[in-house]
Amino acid sequence: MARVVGADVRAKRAGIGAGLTLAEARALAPSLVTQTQNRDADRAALESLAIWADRFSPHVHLDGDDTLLLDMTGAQRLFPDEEALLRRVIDGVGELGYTARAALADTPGAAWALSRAHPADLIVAGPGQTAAALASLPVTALRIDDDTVCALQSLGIETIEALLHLPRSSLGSRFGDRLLYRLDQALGDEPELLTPFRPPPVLKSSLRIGRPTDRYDVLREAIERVLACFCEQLERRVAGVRQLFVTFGCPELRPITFELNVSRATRSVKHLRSLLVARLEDLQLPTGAAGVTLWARRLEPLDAWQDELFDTGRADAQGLAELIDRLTNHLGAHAVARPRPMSDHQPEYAFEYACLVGSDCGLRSVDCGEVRGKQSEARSEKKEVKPRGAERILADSHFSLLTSHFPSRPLRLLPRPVEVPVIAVVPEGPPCCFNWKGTREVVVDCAGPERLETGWWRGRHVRRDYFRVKCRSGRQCWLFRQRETGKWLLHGWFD
Amino acid sequence: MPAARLDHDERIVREDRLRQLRDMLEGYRRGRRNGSCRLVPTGLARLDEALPHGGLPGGAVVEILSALDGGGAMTVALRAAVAAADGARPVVVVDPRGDLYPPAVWQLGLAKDLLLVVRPSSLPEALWAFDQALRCSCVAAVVAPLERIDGAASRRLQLAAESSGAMGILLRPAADRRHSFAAVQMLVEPVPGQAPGWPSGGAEPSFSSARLCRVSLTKVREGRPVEPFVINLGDETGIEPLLPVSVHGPAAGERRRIGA
Repeated sequence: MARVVGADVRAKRAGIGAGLTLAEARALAPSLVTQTQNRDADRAALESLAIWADRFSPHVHLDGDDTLLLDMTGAQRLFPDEEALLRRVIDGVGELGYTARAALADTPGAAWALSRAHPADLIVAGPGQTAAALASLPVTALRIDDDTVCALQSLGIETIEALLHLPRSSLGSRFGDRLLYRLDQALGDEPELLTPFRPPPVLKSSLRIGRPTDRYDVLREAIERVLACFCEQLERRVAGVRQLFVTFGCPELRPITFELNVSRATRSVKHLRSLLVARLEDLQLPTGAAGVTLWARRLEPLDAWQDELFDTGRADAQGLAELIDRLTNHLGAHAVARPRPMSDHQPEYAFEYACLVGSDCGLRSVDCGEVRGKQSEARSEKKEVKPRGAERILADSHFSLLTSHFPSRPLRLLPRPVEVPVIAVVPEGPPCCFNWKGTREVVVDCAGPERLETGWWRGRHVRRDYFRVKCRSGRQCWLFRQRETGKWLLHGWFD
Repeated sequence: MPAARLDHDERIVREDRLRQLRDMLEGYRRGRRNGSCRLVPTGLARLDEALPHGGLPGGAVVEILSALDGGGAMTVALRAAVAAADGARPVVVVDPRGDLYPPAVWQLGLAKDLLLVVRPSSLPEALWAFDQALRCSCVAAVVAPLERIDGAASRRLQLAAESSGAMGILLRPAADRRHSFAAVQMLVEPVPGQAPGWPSGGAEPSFSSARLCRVSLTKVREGRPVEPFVINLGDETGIEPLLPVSVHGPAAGERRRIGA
């Protein structure tokens, strides 16, 4: 059951909050745009924010999915005005595209509590004023589990102040040590250890070429050496690379950089070399190259495995991945795709192509004709982002329904249906003969009509009567008549 | 009688030797292809009968020529590819025209995760993609409509297929029947349709589920020449006519009937 974990301002105004199911959310706001939670991407974003926050404090700790704890001890010289500091943090994070709430206090626990539960999104608790600042906050701000919170609330203890009024001994025996521990941490009676975040060192390897050259053999040799060093580092980290940048330094010119994506994490020298050398052929180096550098952008753990003679399954999968990489490298990321079904009755929308390399992108057949060769525009043209899990199940079941009960579909579907002049015996009836590219085709047999009425949510209500038509020459094609206009169009060939 | 028995034994020994020699010759002929040759029966009965050894060669290029769109050539090509995939290995379809309709391919019985579509933007790119996919030994079959291939490219493709064991299926226009290096070349034409006779007072005419195509094997390696024959592509899912109707020109005195 897909549930909402976060909503933006407009969705919140419509009443959508965390915990609602997707269906309920859609009922509240039919034009909702949804995206599946991507924990890895969230974590990566938080890590990049932690690196950004380095300018304020050398000790940044990641807490949970969405919290950064910065240790500001000893930073009074640099940031004498604490409120201004918090304002800078919030503004800086805002420029990066996030909204933040910030709080400054004596202890990590108190800062956590204040940033979450205090009504203001910027609050400074002065030295020694921790207890007073925490008093009015609800007990949920103490980082205790939900059961304890329920138990406290059932007893009528809503705020921390109320909690502090209770005798300590009874707290421990009633609710366990954890509550006392968290309380003491918040007030500063119990120390809290935070491990600072250290980003993994960037994996790169570079080689300087003595005399700038654009000779193919020299560049190949350079790439060979750089790759050997690069893959050795990958092996030491027991990782494979998914995305890397290759930079050629050119004297007196800006360096030339291009990106390489692979569909499966790899550290195979042979595979990376074949991809790089293929790109080398298209490279323009007017002043020659003085150095080559490889930077790993995205790594994934890759276990050390040996090529086994009998492990054909893995070798096959690897071979296929390498084929996909070679094709993508030469033809572009959108050229290699696996089609998957969509739950839509309109034939051109009944499937979408899912690219295999690079970020997730779904292109429908109607979009493909426009975006071929214009890859950067493809992402902005994507109108709707569908959640994967639930829709995919729907689409598959829809499709199995399609194959078992519905007539067959043509193997070739024209990207845009083409209008053909058709003579039909009865205005609403089946076609009798039609002209295709100068040839007159007489219909000897046809099956239909298959009436499709769909697409009203896309703005254009599509009402078509499809006929599978067999001609006297033996060809079979798929014609339809638009119900509003009476025009006949040819949509595909049963080739 | 000892003389007869000896003759009998000699004959057996001789036959045995002949069989061994024949197998050795076959082996040498096959061994040239790195022993990766396997046979792929297409499932179309008459076609399998006409092919040597009962099926298409697994590690070779098969050319399917056709003159008309909508004639059934692509169905034959994809049926062969699905048979080669056998439910386990992927099939790559190179689609330079951008008009492949995957739901119809799924209806032919290919699992969704086994279909890979490559959409190049030009003919040279399509040829390159076909060549690359053919060199990958984990691919079961590669299908591509390519219009102009010269002899050198054809030979290179055949060698690539032999070395990897993948089946390459090319769809070419019938007019372009230049000397090719494919192992099998066949011309697929639709059988001209006839309006079913107007039964005088009987069953309603319905869209026939037989889909007939005439196949001529223009080139088969190690094959005997055969007359053109007719195969029935059938209809993949058993088409259910929603409105059975048959239309042909009015003849004097006949009433036009449209089934309800």
